Amino acid sequence: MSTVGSEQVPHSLSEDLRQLRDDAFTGVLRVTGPPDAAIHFSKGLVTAVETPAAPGAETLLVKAGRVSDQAWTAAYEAVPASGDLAEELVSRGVVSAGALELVCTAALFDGAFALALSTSPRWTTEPAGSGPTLGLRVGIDPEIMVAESRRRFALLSRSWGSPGELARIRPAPTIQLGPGSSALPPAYRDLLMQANGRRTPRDIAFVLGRGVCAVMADTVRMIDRGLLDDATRPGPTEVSVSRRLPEPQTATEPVGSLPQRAPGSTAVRRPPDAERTSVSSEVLAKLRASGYGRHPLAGQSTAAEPETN
Amino acid sequence: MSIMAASIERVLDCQGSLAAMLVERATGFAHTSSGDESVLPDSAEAAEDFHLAYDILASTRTETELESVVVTTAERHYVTQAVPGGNGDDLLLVVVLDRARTNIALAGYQIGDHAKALSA
Repeated sequence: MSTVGSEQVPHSLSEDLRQLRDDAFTGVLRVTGPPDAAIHFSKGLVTAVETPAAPGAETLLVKAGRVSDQAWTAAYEAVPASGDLAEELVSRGVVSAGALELVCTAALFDGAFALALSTSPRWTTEPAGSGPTLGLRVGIDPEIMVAESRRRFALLSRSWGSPGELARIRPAPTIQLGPGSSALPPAYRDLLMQANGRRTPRDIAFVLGRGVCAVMADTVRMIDRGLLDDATRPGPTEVSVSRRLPEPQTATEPVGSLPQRAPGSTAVRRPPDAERTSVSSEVLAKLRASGYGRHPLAGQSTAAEPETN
Repeated sequence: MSIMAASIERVLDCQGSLAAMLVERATGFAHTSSGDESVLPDSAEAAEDFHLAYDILASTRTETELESVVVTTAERHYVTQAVPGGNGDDLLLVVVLDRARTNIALAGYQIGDHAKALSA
């Protein structure tokens, strides 16, 4: 069933992606969200997924420091509207063709994952749609894209619980970067510096020029290791004057009532974490004793032991 | 063949190399692979091994940056090499070597060179 140019009643986006591959479709599949997205096709293969839900190739290049702002702007301005930005970047020596391919591939799969975090109601196809700002020369089979999104969901579900809820947490550091922090992997250090209890993993991904899924996966690892905590979760004795924390549920709440959004919370249900801590207590103790200073805003309980409730 | 697939193919020039793949460290996503894929470990598991090594290093309070993890069995070496200089999401080069045909010191040096070339 080719659905070119018509608006769809949602049944399964993955089915339509498969159909577009079989039809050797070239053009754009526009998803009306939120989040909105443009899935670019060339001869039935996906060359780019552009969505505000995840950093695109430009953000991954510039924010991560692979390409300077000035070099990007110069290349962008030198290319006519119908020109090839990728070719311009490579010919100027701003980025190698291989590195650009890696970034475009990463952006494509991360965009597909971020899109799958929410259920989008409608999509349309445009056979003559404009091409992506940056995309792959040789596209990806949509089946592979869908399978990878499922794998990422399974990965995060195993380590945390609902990926949708993980996407809404606002991690905050439980340690302060200090002389001992050089023992931490650079990616963890960067995340510690950007996690401020207000940013979601998506926000951090945009700031660092990293993938949303990658930041979510590292966030879980760092929470497991006692380096980050979810600022939207109330600590047992913590009192904050700068941020509204969710109020604890009271015993008088009627049994069986609908879940309610607590003030300051972005989730109605906390992620299950009772069984997911995979780091041994010995390693955790040594991590904590590695010379890190305690974060002045962190509660005593979060520094002493990982949350196990 | 994509540019990265061609780059990974060149890793097979290392003596004793059976297969190689390029993996995103945080997500375990395999960008591309080459050689006898049946001998490659699961990409997500290979990435998790790297995280376990992080924990071991942290517990030793060593001020260092993890470069590679080598797991040796009776028949093979499994080398997981960090691709250096990567900003943003870092990558791992996973190479499986036939132990009987491999000088692991030389292979480690060559794999390190390949990893540097990947990040260029």
